[in-house]
Amino acid sequence: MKALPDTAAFAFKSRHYEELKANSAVCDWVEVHPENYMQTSGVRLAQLEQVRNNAALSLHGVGMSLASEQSLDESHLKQLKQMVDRFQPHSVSEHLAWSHWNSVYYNDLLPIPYTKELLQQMCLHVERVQEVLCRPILIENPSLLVRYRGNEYSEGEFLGELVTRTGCGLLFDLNNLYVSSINLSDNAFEQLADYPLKSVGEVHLAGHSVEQLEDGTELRIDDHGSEVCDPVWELYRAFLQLTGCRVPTLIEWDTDTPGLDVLTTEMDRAEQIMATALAGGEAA
Amino acid sequence: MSLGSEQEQLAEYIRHQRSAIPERLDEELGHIERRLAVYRNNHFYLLGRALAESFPVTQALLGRNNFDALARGYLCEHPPSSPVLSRWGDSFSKWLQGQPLPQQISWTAQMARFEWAWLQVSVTEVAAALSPEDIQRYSQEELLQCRFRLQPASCLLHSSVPVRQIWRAHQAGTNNPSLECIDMQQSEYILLLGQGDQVMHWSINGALYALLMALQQGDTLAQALELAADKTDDQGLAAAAAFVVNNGILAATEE
Repeated sequence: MKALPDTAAFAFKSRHYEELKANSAVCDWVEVHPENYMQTSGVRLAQLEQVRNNAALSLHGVGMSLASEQSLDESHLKQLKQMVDRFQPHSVSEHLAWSHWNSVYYNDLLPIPYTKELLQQMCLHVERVQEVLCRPILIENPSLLVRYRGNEYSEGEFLGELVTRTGCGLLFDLNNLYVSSINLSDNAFEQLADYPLKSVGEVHLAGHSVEQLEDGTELRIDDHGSEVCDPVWELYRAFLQLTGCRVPTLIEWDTDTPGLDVLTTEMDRAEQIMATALAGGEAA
Repeated sequence: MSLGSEQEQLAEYIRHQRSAIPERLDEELGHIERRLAVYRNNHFYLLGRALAESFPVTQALLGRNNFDALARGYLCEHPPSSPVLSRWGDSFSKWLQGQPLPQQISWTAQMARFEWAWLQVSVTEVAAALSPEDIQRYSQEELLQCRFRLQPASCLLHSSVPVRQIWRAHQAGTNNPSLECIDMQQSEYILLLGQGDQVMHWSINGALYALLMALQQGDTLAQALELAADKTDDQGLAAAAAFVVNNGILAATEE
């Protein structure tokens, strides 16, 4: 199993297919949600195969509901396994969240308490996925608007324990970290070192929106619908300086997704920061 | 309270706002209801957007706000049970038929039916097609008695307005018609077909539609040609048969 190239890439949507087909040198790898290709064959899979022929692939799941108290959906896991066998992705990832309850799929990543009880449940689920897929997966930190009382770990500690106990890696979403830190009155820059940074296999960067409440409180909403904001670029630089390593970096843009020209501009900025941060300089 | 009860409470709160705010959530942060409203909005917004991805022209016809409101109604009655959202929305066109829509676009459910068919053709396996050479191996008599299976990645539609023309008018590209040039009184027979990495689609004539429908329903080629002959002359019939053979629409013969 090869690792993802340590370059910047973007989250592939079918609307990019013709552009990418015409210019496959745009990036070394792309990321897709496997759920968009499950229970499908024909044209849609043919397009993904064409993309895969020219680029490394990351499968980033949104439907496994790993942090649910309910048991894993084994049929969903089986479909993921079929995709992994077929496409031989360089990375498979999922979320530290839940999205499914009593036969309703919420299509959102819902919050969790950082407790021993949930850690145990999460470990069981991650181990089961890794057992079926015969490979370690990456787990992404969520963006949060609420916090549970009685947390027994910080998010970074929780993920550190998960990594130690299951051998999974971390998909570090720096926009999520920033969004959560504002929403929960924390400091993302101070929290960075809490996370298992040596186990980061991929970084996500994205834009978010801001909702201003009457009393001046700002809620940050992780909508992946705009350019990466400056504080998140700064967090990315700080992360790189802390680890001292290049890292596969994905630009996510899921709402009103623009064309490749806009996405490549964001990718270029990530590459520039990666180069200068590791050389000890400043990027524009 | 157990983890399961807490998750159930939050799930219920998000979808129906019926239950109390989950008690272990930290209210010291302030604005807890507004915070939870973001999760509720995300649930409806993201699934509404997912539905719009499957029905982009339907959304364009209705306008985004109207589409979102309708999507919310549909979601309340027919929530997805799986994260595989390309399979969610099969009942949307039928549901839309029962909704009050402006008179001038009262046919929008037919566009939703076209877009759903397009999506399903795009995600269905394209089977190996019978080639002209395969077909030439049969004697004429054998051929007329054959029952053919159509390509599984295909769909036949009949609409009372020209939905394919309208759909094309909403696509980028210079060869597509403009909306003003479309005769809205015209009905349309449509064939969608998966080929390689493309979904092909044609407006077809009544004879070809009758021929393919009959084959799809299990009639022999002789029976299908007889039905098609009611709608065209010999030349038209030959053209329909040639179209079927040359475009790989037949996947296999039934045993």
